[in-house]
Amino acid sequence: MLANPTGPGLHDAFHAASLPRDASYGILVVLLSVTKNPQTRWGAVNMVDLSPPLLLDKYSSRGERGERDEFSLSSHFQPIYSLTHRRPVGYEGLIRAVHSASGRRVDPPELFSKAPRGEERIRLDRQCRALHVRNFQRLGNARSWLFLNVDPQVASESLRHRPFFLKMLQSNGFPVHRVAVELIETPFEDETHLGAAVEHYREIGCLIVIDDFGAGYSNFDRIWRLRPDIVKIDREMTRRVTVEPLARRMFTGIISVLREAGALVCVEGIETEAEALCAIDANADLMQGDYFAPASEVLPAENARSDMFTRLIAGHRSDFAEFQKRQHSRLVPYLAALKNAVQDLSFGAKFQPAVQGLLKLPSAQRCYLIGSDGLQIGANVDAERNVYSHDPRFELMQPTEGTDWQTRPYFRRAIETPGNAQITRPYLSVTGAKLCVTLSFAFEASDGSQQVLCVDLDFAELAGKDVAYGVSSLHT
Amino acid sequence: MDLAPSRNDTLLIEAEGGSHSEFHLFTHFQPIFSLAHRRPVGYEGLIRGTDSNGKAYRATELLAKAPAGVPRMQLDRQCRAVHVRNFRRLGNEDSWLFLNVDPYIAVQGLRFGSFAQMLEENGLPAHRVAVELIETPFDDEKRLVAAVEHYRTIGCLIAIDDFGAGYSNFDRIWRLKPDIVKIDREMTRRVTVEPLARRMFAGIISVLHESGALVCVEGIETEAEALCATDADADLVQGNYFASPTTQLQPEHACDDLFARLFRNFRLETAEFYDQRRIRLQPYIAALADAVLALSAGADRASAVRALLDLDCTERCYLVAGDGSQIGASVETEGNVAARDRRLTPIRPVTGTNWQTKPFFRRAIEAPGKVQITRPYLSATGPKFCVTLSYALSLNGSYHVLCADLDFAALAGDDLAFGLTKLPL
Repeated sequence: MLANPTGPGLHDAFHAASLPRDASYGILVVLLSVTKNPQTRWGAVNMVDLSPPLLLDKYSSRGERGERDEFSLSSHFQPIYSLTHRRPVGYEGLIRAVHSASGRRVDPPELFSKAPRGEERIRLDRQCRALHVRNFQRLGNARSWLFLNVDPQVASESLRHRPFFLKMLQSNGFPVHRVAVELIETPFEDETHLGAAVEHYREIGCLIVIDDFGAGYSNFDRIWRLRPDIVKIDREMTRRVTVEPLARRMFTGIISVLREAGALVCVEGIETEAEALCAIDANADLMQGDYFAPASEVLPAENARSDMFTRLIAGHRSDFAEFQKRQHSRLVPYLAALKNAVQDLSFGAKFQPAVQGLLKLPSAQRCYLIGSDGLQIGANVDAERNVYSHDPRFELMQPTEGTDWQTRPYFRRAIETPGNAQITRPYLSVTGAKLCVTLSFAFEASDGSQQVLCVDLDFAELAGKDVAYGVSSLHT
Repeated sequence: MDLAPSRNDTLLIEAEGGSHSEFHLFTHFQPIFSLAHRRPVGYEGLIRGTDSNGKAYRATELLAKAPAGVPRMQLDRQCRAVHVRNFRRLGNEDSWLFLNVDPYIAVQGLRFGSFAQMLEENGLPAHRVAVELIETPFDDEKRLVAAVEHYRTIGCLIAIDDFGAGYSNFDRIWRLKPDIVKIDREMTRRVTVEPLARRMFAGIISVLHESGALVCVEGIETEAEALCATDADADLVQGNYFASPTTQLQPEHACDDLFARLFRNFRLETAEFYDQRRIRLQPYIAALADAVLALSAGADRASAVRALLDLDCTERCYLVAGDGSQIGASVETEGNVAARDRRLTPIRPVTGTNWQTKPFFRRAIEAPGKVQITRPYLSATGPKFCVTLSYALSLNGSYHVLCADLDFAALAGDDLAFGLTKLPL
């Protein structure tokens, strides 16, 4: 055992002790003490070698009345897959703790509650990171990223203490550029301090990761301040996308906006095929979750999920084709009626009779005509059924002659490509109440001027349940 | 118009020694404009106060005088009643009144007198009130949902304030399903000075639109900020650039000239931006077309894309089969090899890397024979922002997509990189 000691610092310090058999791992355990090593600052540590592959570590907490509690710590690693590569490109180190006296498994929040703040917290946080680095190193993976969680509080306070992280990585022979420092979502008052701490990690060469984006304090202001290389989406969002229409609709947009921040986007907490399909459809770069591989003390084979990815991607492709076909077939009558109306208008027909046919279709709500300067020409013509469904709260937003649509994408896109119908994503029209989809079409009017005909369609009515939420249908 | 504070608009603060200090409360209204309508559609009520010596106090200073708990809640309710009364006195009959509510108070307030009753007593219909929840941490989000449902049930609009900062995040949007989302004013400031924020602004607003909310950009103080909000397709705008808070309401057409100028400049900038972008991309599109011709004529890949790679901003070219898998390694420019970031080694593309979920691949395959151009993004293959040109062609009877990544910063230069409004850096 221990033919492969974990670092020069430990080598001197180690002396073999008793060899109890650990039932849960089924392998021999070597006790290893590093307490005599002056280089080691992460507390009174007893390393237990489960080589190969795992090291155990002990953490001893001090209660309010000075009583001590001992926990044995071990590392679990959860793979993070790249969608384009179909293999793990990184592993997140997760701490597992067992209460030594009772043998009870302790969740990380409970473990960390034993050291809520101050030096004690920093020590525990550092101890966990050091354990993950050593264990990961021993597993022999030589190219992937190692994701390490850091509490913003600890990251910021650590700056004031002796430099630990770089030294620890160096003494373990782990290249800094393969470490992704993951900042978890917790409120943190002194965000400038946090910025400095993150700069420290970036300067020594690590990747910067923001965790739990979209929940609590993990918000856009943090992205601008910290400029992460990778953003992990809050797992609660992952859960919502398959059960809530609102979240499902916004998911793709949120991921695309984060990619514009210059970050790779990781969807974590994926537990079902539906969630995986949503992540694929939303163009996530990285994916993590029990559906692909649960956290475990060993790394799965790199190609272990190749078949699953092939199946998922093929499934997504056929879902997507099917979705487009369905969406298109539903729009066909509206596009045809829009073209008829445009034809009538360009031959000089009056507005109301020209759009009559269009407004008779079940999802059409209102039609309006816009001049090339973006100003509405005349009032809306509402579908009859729509006249009675006005929301009083939005009454003052009713468009009229002269309302200015020139900044709207459906106007701008139509004017740029005359003769082509444009279709928006669903949005709340300024007239309120309902999500709508706008079809727009630029044409030459009978007086030679360019005009844009628009029709708002009731999105829910048009899409029905099967199309409303995008490619992967909801469970509800 | 009579704006003298009535007896009810006096705030009494009891100090520790039992002495009282008295403040007169009054309202400042800041108009909220609809860009499409070019007129105010709402007014935000902001509390102001003066003490017995005539010294002026802002909202935060006044609220700091009322300790948390019942006194704070009473002051909050008093402020809202003052706003409603003053708004009614000014005689506006159609606009929204935006009232700020602390989430904590929204929840506690449920147990005290009725907001609906106060509105009714003052003759302001609930459907003209927008309840604005400010960004503060609140632990019991379930109770917040219940409080918001209460305001919705009585007929108010729900607005979320300060989106994008602190706790005003997507999880709150899903929970509260607001009718209006106000963007954090710090974001408004950033968009004209920070490329990253500028680039993301339109995307953030578009995502919020998909949530089914109208989007208000507030804290607008300069024309550059107003142009950014216009370009990003905001529905509502608010800020001192348009009108400062005052005790009076804005005449409806007071800002007509300002809007006319704003939209004129917007049109000029849009036209210039598209012109410039077209000119800058033109040589790359031409070289891509040549490469496609050469490939179809049977040339080998490296020589077919050589001219394309020789252009200043090209970083790499790669060929993708119809099933999305890359054929062979990417052909990289020499300059780019040196720029490689060691941190991104785990995600370098190789033969078999699969691009089929990427929009640039999907869009090319759907429209063969047309050049597709992405928005700038961080490529999975390198450390830089890139723009990808993609083009589907037929090779040996099946579709292939030729892609070229261009270095976005080099391509765009300072004048195009940040969209329509040049940064005043």
